[in-house]
Amino acid sequence: MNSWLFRSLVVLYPKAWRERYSKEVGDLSAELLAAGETTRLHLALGLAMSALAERVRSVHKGRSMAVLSGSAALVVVVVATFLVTNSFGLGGGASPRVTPVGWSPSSYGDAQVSAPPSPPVLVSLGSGRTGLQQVIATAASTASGQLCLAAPGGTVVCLLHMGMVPPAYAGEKPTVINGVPVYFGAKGDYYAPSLGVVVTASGPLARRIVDTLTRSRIPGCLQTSPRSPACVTGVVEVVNPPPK
Amino acid sequence: MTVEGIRGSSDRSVLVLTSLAGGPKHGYGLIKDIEGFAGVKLGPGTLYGCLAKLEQAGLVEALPAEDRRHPYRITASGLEAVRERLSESARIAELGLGRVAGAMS
Repeated sequence: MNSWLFRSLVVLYPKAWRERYSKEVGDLSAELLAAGETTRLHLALGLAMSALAERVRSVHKGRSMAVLSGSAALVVVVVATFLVTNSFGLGGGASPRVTPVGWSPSSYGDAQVSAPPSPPVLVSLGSGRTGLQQVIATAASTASGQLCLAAPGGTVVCLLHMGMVPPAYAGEKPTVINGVPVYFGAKGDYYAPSLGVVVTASGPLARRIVDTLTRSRIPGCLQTSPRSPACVTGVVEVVNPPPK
Repeated sequence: MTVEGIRGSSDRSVLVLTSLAGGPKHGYGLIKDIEGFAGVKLGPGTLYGCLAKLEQAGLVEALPAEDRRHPYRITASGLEAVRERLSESARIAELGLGRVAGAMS
């Protein structure tokens, strides 16, 4: 949750409550977000409703009804502003703000990354099929790790299905990218268990593309395979060749 | 808040006291513990609403922060309060189950 939103919600609480508990609530909220236990929308709504409850309690302690009415109106304004400016889905969806202007977002399962149109995005579809595309495509065949080898001087970002974080990294504190807890592995691997993917990235644009990782607003199905008809396998690969 | 106080309050306060009866916990630990034994997932606002009431009533107390985590523990008054509340619930449950069994037989 961004600091502006949190400050706006905390202001709704009675002053005494705010001074005593706001830091603790902020720390706990950050921890829950980092662990993927909640979404920013649920947090915002929960804090807004709790603020209203605290105001009601303070009214019961003798404050005027005007305070309650004003607080309720403020809650509505802040939540409405949040919804309008953030466009989160009910499942904690992606914020379009994470996609830089001119870049194209593409979804893979629950995950989304964005890539620039220039230099042209070379999309490998697996099985030796490649082509210049402006979008990220789902691979036609299941993953072979070789698909994610970096092109010399270029940028390669692959999203692969990964249901869990390897034990070697699971005990580490995740870094939060756009509200998504991410565990850093070796050699440019970014494990995002809440999205069910691992992102492998290398090359000059790798980190910039990884920084656009977010929850897809269009929950999808990972690539199927003949051996596994369930939505569990697949590859999305983006290759940005160096400009000539 | 006294024992009478939590009798009329939501069950969430009882869940928090029950969790802390098992030992001191910080917010995240409380949420996970309560989710584990009661299947109820409290949000930060709800949890701290309960903690604020309970702390004001002297039923829980804050411990020194550990990094960015803020643990709480139950007080002697809190233990007594939750014991009475749970005993009352157990008595009602026993009575109710007996009546249900009688009605079904």
